[in-house]
Amino acid sequence: MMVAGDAAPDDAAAGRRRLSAWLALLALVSAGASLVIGRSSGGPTFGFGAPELASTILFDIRLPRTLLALLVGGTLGLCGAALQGLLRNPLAEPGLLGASSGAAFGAVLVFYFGLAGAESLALPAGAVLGSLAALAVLYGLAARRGDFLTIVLAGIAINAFTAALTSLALNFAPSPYAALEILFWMLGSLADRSLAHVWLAVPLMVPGWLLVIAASRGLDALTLGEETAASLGFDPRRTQWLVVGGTALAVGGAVAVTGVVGFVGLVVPHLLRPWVGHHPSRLLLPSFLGGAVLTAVADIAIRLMPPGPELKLGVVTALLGAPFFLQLIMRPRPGAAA
Amino acid sequence: MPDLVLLLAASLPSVASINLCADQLVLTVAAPEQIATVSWLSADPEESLLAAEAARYPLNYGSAEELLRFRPDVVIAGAYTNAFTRTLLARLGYRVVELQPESTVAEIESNVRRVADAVGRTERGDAIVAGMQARLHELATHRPAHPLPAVVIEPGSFTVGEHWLANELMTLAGLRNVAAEQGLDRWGSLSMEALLTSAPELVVLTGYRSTQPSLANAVLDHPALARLRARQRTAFVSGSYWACGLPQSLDAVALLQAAALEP
Amino acid sequence: MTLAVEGVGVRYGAHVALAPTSFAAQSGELVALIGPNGAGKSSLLKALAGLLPCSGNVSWRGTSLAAFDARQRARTVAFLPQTPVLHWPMRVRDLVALGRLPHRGYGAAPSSADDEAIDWAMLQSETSAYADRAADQLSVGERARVLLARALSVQAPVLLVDEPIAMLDPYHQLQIMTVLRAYARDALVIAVLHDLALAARFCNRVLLIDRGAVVDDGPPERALSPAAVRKHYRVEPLITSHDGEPVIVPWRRLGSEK
Repeated sequence: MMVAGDAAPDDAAAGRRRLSAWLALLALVSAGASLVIGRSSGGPTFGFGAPELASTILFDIRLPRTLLALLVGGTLGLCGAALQGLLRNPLAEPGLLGASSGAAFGAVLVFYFGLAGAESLALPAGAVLGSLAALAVLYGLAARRGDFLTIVLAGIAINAFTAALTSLALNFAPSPYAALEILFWMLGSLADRSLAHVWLAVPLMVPGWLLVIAASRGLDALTLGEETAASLGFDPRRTQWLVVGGTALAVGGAVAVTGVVGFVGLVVPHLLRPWVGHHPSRLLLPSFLGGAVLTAVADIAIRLMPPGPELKLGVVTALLGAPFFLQLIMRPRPGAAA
Repeated sequence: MPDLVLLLAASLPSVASINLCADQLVLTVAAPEQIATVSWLSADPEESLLAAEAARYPLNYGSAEELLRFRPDVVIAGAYTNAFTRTLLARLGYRVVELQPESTVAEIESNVRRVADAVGRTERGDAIVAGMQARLHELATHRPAHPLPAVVIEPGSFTVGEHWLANELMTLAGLRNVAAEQGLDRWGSLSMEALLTSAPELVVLTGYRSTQPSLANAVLDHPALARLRARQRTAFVSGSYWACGLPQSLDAVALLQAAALEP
Repeated sequence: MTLAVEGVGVRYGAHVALAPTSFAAQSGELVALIGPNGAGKSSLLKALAGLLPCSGNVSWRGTSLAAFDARQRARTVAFLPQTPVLHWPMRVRDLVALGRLPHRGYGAAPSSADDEAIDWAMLQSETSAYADRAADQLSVGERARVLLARALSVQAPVLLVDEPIAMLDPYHQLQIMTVLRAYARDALVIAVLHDLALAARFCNRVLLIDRGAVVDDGPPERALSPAAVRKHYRVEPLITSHDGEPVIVPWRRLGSEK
């Protein structure tokens, strides 16, 4: 056993810095790979094709896709970590609370039943409004009794409700093809996004991140329960609104351009938590980086598949994330019982 | 003269198509040498009326990067598919033609002309439309004396109603679509009860991958439906005839008429 | 330095948990809040900590706590709740360090004063030995002392603790009471206690609360007189003295046992 002393906290801090440095390096490497790996009718390709096409392929097709993989994945990891800290439960994720499905419904409405093109500001606005509406309803339902069970049950109800509304939208889709596109869109994809989508998402994501990060000390304080957190000067209501509002903005922006990408917000914070000593605020940066890595790797895996239509991103993040997750929760935890 | 023909062919824009319906119009309208690529679904005989023709060309899966490699002058797409790809290609300066789904023969003619203009073969488009008009005229002479009540049953117990191409083709064939008469707009699910009470005399089945087991096809084995089919006349018409609006869709009119006029 | 409590009352809907209460307490006092279950002790403590909506006013050194900003108030009044809550199995030292949050700016690394306060609090609560253990590897009593260390590390001039020794073994009960008395040398400590003997022995003042009202406020010998214990706790106490200090032990329930 380690001897308690001055060296221990420094070791732990150095370990955390190493973790973040490794994750940042992995994110850079996967971003590099994502820029180099493409996909043509014959399956994966490497490099940039013919010289006169290279700059278009690199800057107009793969760069936006790579940037969005990092930004969206980071958003999902960060918000998942913050929501888990807020609810003090490792099962929380944006999808569980209805933020993603609300955003999807808002975007679907705008996408197919408004007059908005795929790049108009109406699409992210619809997603953000959907996300905010879902989380506001959740908060309205759960604020009176802020216990975890109420929040999760309310989240499940909101999820079911927005899913039903989306099905309703499918029923009234102008054509079976439109319905199919809605279904595909809800599985998430980064294919053929342009820098315009990056510029649409970033103004929503960055304020969302900042709100979530502003809650970090409040999340630490919440480890000791709401009363102690309040006695330490961190009003739990304020922390909740920072996290809920930040998640709505950032996830709304992410869903607006990629559709629903599940599992990243659940699995990444859960995998990384032991590495930061279960410290809620110290989990935020690694979760951001880890989410970016997982999403970028999943998007690379899509391009490495044998010839055929592209798989959907949400499908692949779940395929990659679920085995990790299961392995983690099935592993016996030494000293769990005291 | 052969030189001139070659020159003309060479000056035709190369065309990429990224949607099943667009593919079949392009295969019908464009010159073979100007077709750079069509989408993978159009080479599937279960989906496409022109699978054999499509299989002669490189197939694409509708992503911007693979399309770039074909260096097309014009990209033909459907209005509801590949939304992000269409936007991106347009931003990159490609000419993208978006085709609205056709629910009338007039809309098919208009899409034929749009594709013909986009691929630089306006005369070919005019000729196809003229051929369609002649065909319609000829088909009108074979209509049954009294409109026959009929219904379309697609896998998953979907049926068609007003403002939908299959409905127009039925009307042209001299049939009465009982689902449309019950007020169904475009497409929707078929209520078994409504079907039985409306007593159609002709049941039009559109198989879809009927050899593969699926929930959608299992609906066709519903006992009520089986009894109806035993009593009424049944016609099989591939859904591909009206899933996309094509000049070939008029073949469905002939098939429906043949079924209606069968002794 | 004086904590002035003026007309502080708590009600939950129509139910009055605490009738308007006034008293003043100074640095240097270790005040026991004594009374039967449901008397309103925790409500008073939470009202003082600003965790419950309440009537009246609480001021510290002449300034109403309501006028303090959240961080300033958190540095002035530290609070340890009755139920130990620990949602993540964090490292013990990191947990104790949470008490320094009100002292640190956003994103600032712990200062040497923070480190000293944390080490001191762990030393006081005898938790230094498991500084690097995860909190889920602690026994209930160990965890209770870690949470007390967290409250101590705030180094607030007012420390409010709700049943700090309820889950501790006799050795650590005595140890924590000693720590609280030492802390109260230059701070005000108000502790909800059920152990009458330890309250009488370590505290220099007792607020006896029953049915939402302060019924006595004075030295332990008076507030915990046999008559008071009989009346408010409905038990017959055994009262003796040892080393010149009073010893109060609840002996039998009134009206039920012979």
